[in-house]
Amino acid sequence: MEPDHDLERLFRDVRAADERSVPAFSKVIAPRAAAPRTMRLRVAALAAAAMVFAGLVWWWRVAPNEPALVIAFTPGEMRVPTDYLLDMATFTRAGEIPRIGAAEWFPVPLPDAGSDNRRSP
Amino acid sequence: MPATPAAAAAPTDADLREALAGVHPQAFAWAVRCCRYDPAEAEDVLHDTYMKVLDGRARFEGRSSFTTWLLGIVRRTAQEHRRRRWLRVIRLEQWWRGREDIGPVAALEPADDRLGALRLALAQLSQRQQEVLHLVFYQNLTIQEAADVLAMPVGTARTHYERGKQRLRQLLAHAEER
Repeated sequence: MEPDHDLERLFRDVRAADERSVPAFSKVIAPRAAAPRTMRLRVAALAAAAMVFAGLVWWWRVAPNEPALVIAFTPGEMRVPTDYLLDMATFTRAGEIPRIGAAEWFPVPLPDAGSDNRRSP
Repeated sequence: MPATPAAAAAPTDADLREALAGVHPQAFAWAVRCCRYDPAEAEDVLHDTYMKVLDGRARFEGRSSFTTWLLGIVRRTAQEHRRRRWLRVIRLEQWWRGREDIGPVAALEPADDRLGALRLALAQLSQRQQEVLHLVFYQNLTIQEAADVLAMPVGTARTHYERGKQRLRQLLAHAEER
């Protein structure tokens, strides 16, 4: 195994140099007030919250006074596509075998191809 | 040798203070290392660690040496501080302080070229290698004790130790050539 005396000596020197800058035990263990940067962070957080609150108030005050949207049923006319319903009633069911008693079957003759059986308006 | 509080009998406050004062320089050096060479942060970490010990939130049960146990507490407390700092949005804090974040190694004043070179070389190792080498060479712990502090298997600690040592030697040799 390779001896590590060189590294041991180096680290010992670093340790000796560091020991000069070790803060006193009594200083480290003494009760401490909130760190200044913690106080600054609290002030910054409060300022940010105040800005957000002010923004919300401003937005609420300058929002346009639009009429509220009301959805309601109102009387009116309903137009039914009559021609379409007529077409449906006379639609030929090619190849269909009618059932006895079927109410929806209308035995109408096949219209000529290309003819328009809709009424003219 | 620092006074070690008896594990079986409940140690008094004075006993604990005496034991803590005995390992204070070592604990501070380790705290600085755990705080990435920020001495101010290290002081805060050490204060919280000592308070934990004195309040009884951390209790020494004699499963290892007092120093090993304390260094483990320092490491965990430093991790808690780091998490808390992250939550405080560290960037905002730096901006608020109004200065650039200086590098961890540059923050230290090297006493001479040799020690400066060692610190620079250490900074180029992985975190784990740095921690193991610090514990073994700086704190004079065994690899087993270093593994206990770092809460890792001793085989892993040994691997970090060997690789870290090898790489450190290469870096120091390279620094000497220049």
